[in-house]
Amino acid sequence: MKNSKMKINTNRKPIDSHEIGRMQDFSAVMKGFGVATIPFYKKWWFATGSGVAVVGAIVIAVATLNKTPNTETLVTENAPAPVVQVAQAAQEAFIQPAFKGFDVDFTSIWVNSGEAKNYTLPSGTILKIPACHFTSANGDEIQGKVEIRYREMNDGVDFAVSGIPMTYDSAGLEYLFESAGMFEVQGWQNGQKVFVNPYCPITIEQKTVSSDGKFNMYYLNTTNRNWQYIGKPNWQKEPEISKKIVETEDLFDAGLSNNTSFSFPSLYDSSDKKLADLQKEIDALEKTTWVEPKLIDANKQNFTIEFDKNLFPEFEPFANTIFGVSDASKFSPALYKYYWNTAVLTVNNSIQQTESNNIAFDAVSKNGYTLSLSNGTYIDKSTLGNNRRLRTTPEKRPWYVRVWNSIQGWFGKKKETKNTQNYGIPAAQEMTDTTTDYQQPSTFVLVPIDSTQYYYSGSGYRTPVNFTVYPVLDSANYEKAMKEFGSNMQKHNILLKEKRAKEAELRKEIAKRDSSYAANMAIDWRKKREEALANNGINKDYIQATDSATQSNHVKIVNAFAASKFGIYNCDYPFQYSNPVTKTVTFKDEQGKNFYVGSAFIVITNKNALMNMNYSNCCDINMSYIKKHRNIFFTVLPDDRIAYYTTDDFNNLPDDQNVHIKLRVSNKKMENISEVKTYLGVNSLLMQ
Amino acid sequence: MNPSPGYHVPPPQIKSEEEQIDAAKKDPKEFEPLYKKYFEQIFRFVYQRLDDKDTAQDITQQVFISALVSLKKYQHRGLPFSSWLYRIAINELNKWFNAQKNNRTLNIEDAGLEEMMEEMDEQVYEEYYPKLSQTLAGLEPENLLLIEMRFFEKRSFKEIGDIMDITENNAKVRLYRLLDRIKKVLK
Repeated sequence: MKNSKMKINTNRKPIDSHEIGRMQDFSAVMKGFGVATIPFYKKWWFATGSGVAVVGAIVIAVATLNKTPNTETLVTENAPAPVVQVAQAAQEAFIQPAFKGFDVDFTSIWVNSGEAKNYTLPSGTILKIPACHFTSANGDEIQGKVEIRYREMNDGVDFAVSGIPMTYDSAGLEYLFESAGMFEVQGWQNGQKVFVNPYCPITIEQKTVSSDGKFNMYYLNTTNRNWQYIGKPNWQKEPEISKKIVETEDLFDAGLSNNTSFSFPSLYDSSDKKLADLQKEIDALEKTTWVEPKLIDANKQNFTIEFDKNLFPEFEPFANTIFGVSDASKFSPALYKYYWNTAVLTVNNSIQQTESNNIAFDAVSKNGYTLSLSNGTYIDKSTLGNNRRLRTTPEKRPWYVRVWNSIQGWFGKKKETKNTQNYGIPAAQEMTDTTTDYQQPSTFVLVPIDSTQYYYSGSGYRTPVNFTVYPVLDSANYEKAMKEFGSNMQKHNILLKEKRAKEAELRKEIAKRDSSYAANMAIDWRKKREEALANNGINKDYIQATDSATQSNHVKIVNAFAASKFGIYNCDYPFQYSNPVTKTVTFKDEQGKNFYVGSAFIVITNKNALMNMNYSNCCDINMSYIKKHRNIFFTVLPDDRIAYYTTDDFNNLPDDQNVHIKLRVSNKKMENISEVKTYLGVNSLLMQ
Repeated sequence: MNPSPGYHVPPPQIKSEEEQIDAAKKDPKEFEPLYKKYFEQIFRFVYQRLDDKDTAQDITQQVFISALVSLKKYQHRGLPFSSWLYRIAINELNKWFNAQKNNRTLNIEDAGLEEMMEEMDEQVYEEYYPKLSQTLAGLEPENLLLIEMRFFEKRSFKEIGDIMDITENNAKVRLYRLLDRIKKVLK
């Protein structure tokens, strides 16, 4: 016995027989059995590996066709038989895109795993990612960026191009799907598939033309190779999605991956600029830390700075400020034995500007200030007399450090030295100083203090000192400052509230603008593309038809579907291909030669459905179609050109049992789905 | 102990089942009655060892696909067809566990644990349940299978023997030796 991390469930809710009964799907077993027992000569490895000779012939045949894309050479009755074998082998792959050169494109968006966000795609579909982590195959939470790939298949051509099967096998009966929209969604990180947390589904709001109750949701089970019924769609009206905020960058990223080079006007306008400015203001306000006024502490050293405004303009904001020394031990009484010629006040962190114009709070630092004193000149008692500049009566009044232009030439001003005079100093005013951490000046000079007073200054300077000081207030000013502080705080909060309200309003406006932009973007996009096609001379009639259809049709409904796993989902109604007309058909090319079709499609445009066929011959084939439907037949040639038969062609088919179907062939290879639709005249209702 | 539903099939019914199997060997579509008959049993067996219904459904489907593919090799030995399906189910589950790693789940019920304690001649204290559960989770796969079938799926020794391809007696001996081991671990 060993330690195990096996998950243990205790007293799990039992599952009832009825529910198990609903899971039965014998047709899926039959399909799985069919795949498991494909004879070796039909297996992919035989087609691609062992059958070298056959594949060689195929490659040569395809290469030959690719070299002559502009000629009207088709697969005619003289064409080599392996071409048909290619179609047969290809059918064995479950999802096999019809064209070699392109598929229905995925749009990629990058999301942070665990972060909720909504994304609006050019088609108008909204992907809503919940605030849950995606998981690995082992169920571990995925961290970081995850690529979500999304694509929609909205009409028969999309279905055919993607190669996703559009038949539904139920109890051995095969049905066709009438589709109200299909989509595929995948999650990737570092080349590995990621998974949706099944308890936290992603929501896909896809536009659709119908909210008919007959439609169901199906999930393509690629293991069983069949569509699995998963419930009914969740219809919502369009206005509900128009309120969604569009992620501008994602919109453009999504658009750029659509293989087009059209440019669209930027969504960034004056509203965005206003919002950005407002956000800056709000940020600044939110970051403002209000410093509550401090009451003077008489037990600590406190001082003011007296200064000459002309000489020390930088001290202007600190006029009348009383500074309290934070650490009294650093403020040695010896300091006042010097005349400090240089005083620098440095803010300990950034200045927080407030709106106060009073007392000491024009600029207040939460962390205090560093006062640096240097160029201190020793003051001999004999030189000071009544004019000493440092005074102390700590119990009654603060310290003063007088900063003065006291040294000749110090600030560039020269003052004439007068005759030497002695100034006495009363003994009572002498201060006791027991410290010795100062230098005795070696020489003294007479320094003018003002027009009548001088003092001697020593030639040596004391070591500079630094200490942290805080602005403090005496009791009278403190009360006033506190009132002002309260009032300012109130003003600040009101201002912040107003700005936030303005921001919310602005965001709402922008969301409305973006929503409207998103709604129009898909149509604009398509129109531009069609204009470009029209300029190239391709099917101008179709362009006109599209324009009028764009004006007359309007999507009103979305299917808001919660997907608990990645994969392919289809909103469909299964119908049986009943009462078809069956004709004996011989396919011909435009030159009248017999044409081997191989794999082909009938797009039923009025049902938004697709039927797959595979003909191994050119002639006298039984072809079934329902006359009342709007059918379009097409097949893809090995060089990605198409041979097709339009709805009008079908309508003009004679009533005879034996008919020749003369296929039209595109004069160029198809580069994208839009071109295919243009040739076939298919107009996706869901794209309008 | 009640046997699991649908196991004790009377001989005439086995005969009829043999005919169905023979028909399915000739035409796979004839497999449907057998599929419908055994789907629930196999699904429950698979789901008992898993945490989610979707995976259980997928694996159950795969069991029947594999059964259909191998049906031609199936020989009548007078045993119910279900025991063969259960063996395929064990194989498919093992394949899944190997591929997924650590996705095996132990689904237990208090009643089953109580029965185990009684079988070990132990006083039944609910406080032991967590430790007992942990001990079961640490068992070798075939031993865990034995415990699960006996106490949580209520299968007879005869059926357990058929599924594990051992005799009824052997199933009994193995189980009681295993219970002794578990008892020692608990002490």
